[in-house]
Amino acid sequence: MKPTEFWKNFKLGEELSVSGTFIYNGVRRFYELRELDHEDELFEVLYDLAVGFERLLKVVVALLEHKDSDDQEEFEKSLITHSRPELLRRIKQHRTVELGPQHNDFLDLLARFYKQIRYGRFGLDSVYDHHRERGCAPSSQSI
Amino acid sequence: MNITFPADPFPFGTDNDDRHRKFIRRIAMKIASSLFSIVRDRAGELNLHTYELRSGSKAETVFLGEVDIPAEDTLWKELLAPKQLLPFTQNGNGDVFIVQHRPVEDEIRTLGAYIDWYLQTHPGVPAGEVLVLVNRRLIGNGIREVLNDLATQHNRAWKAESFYFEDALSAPAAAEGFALLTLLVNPEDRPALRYLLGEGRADCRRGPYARIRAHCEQTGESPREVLQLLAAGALQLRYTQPLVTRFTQIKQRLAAMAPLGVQQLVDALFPVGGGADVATVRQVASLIVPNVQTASELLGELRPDIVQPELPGTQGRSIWIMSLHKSKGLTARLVIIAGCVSTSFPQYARPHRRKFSGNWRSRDGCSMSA
Repeated sequence: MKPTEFWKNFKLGEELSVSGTFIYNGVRRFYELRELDHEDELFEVLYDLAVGFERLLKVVVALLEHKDSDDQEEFEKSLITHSRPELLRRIKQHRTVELGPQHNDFLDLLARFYKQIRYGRFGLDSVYDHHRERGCAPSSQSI
Repeated sequence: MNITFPADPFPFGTDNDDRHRKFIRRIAMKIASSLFSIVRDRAGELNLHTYELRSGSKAETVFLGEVDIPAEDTLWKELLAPKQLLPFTQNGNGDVFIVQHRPVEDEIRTLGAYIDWYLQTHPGVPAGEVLVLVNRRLIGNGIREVLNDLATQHNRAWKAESFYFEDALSAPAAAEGFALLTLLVNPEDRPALRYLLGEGRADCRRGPYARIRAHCEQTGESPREVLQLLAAGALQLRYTQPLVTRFTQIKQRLAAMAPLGVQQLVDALFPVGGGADVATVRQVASLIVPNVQTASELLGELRPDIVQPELPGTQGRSIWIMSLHKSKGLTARLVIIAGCVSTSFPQYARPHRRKFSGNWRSRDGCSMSA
């Protein structure tokens, strides 16, 4: 078995399980929430789901895009991104993904959380921006 | 969902209710399953096993299961903290018999003879204090026939009654009639519509329905609305014609039934010529007909009568025969659990499957029979 086959067969398989574990934890944590107003609890939900879907998207990209003839280092660098919509766009170049607008909006929300809000409280401007995770939007959020 | 969270919910906060939970779960599961299907397909093309998941893992639950958190929590509660059995000392000692039979006919005959003997040797015990629990209707009804034959032969004062009305809809003809009645009352009832659309096909027309469902998720329309648009030619969705044809047939049948009176409706839904398949539900419906005026009232009475039939009291002259789940909460002097076959009963808990917990009580004796 070639190293790349081993990588895709086993290591990406493990990564698939890791992604599923994060997604499960996110869904369960959301189920356990009694109110939607506590930033610390929402943070956990969003973090689990964001990490889980990012890793899952990367597994799919790796399986679809990787070729033995490619520059491995370059390919691995291309996976260093937190943009879920970008990863989804790469997948859609190869396969039809049966997701509706709501699902895409949800992935956008996770991307926004992970890129802009996750470390937001370490900045001074967080003093003026309450309830970041609660909406991931300036005033209110509709679902 | 058209739910807007207020920017400042002070002082009451925003409750997380089941609508939110189901919505987030459905969204997450749809994304996960869509991406996982690509993993599975691509791994197959590459002759890899990347998609294989450890049995019982969280990932397996996400990609191949449903992440039904309430059901999982119930299961874990039962597994981790099984209910402690406490003796009811005021009831005195009871007898427990565990008996094995070879063919099921032996079991039926032996249990019939045993119950007859028990009631003869306990003349003060009413027949209603004998409870026979068996999940398979075939065995339950067999015991009922044997008991009633014995009662006739020996001129006993009791009789046996079985309560398997929940099986009244197990035959396709009965289920079809009930689904049509449900749609007649509520045209937007999705389970009834889905059943009728898939009826008669091993694959339940899963493929075309998945296309319609995907369209519904994007537009927010109901499956019925989409099917009506398709049938009218106002919408085009590829590979959905078999469902549209079936939907048109269902509509025609419902239109024919709409003007019928309640008795004619029962005759049309559960015809006499339907034989044993519809006999039970027809019998239950016929008892309701004199007291109702509309299809809606008929359905309102029929549904609880099938799901929760009224049981006779313990002081009555009828031996009760029913499924274990139906018996939950009941108490009897003699409880017989029949049909204990490995893998059939008891059903041991598997991940994501609820375990049966027996909440009936026996005061005198319990017999387990296999």
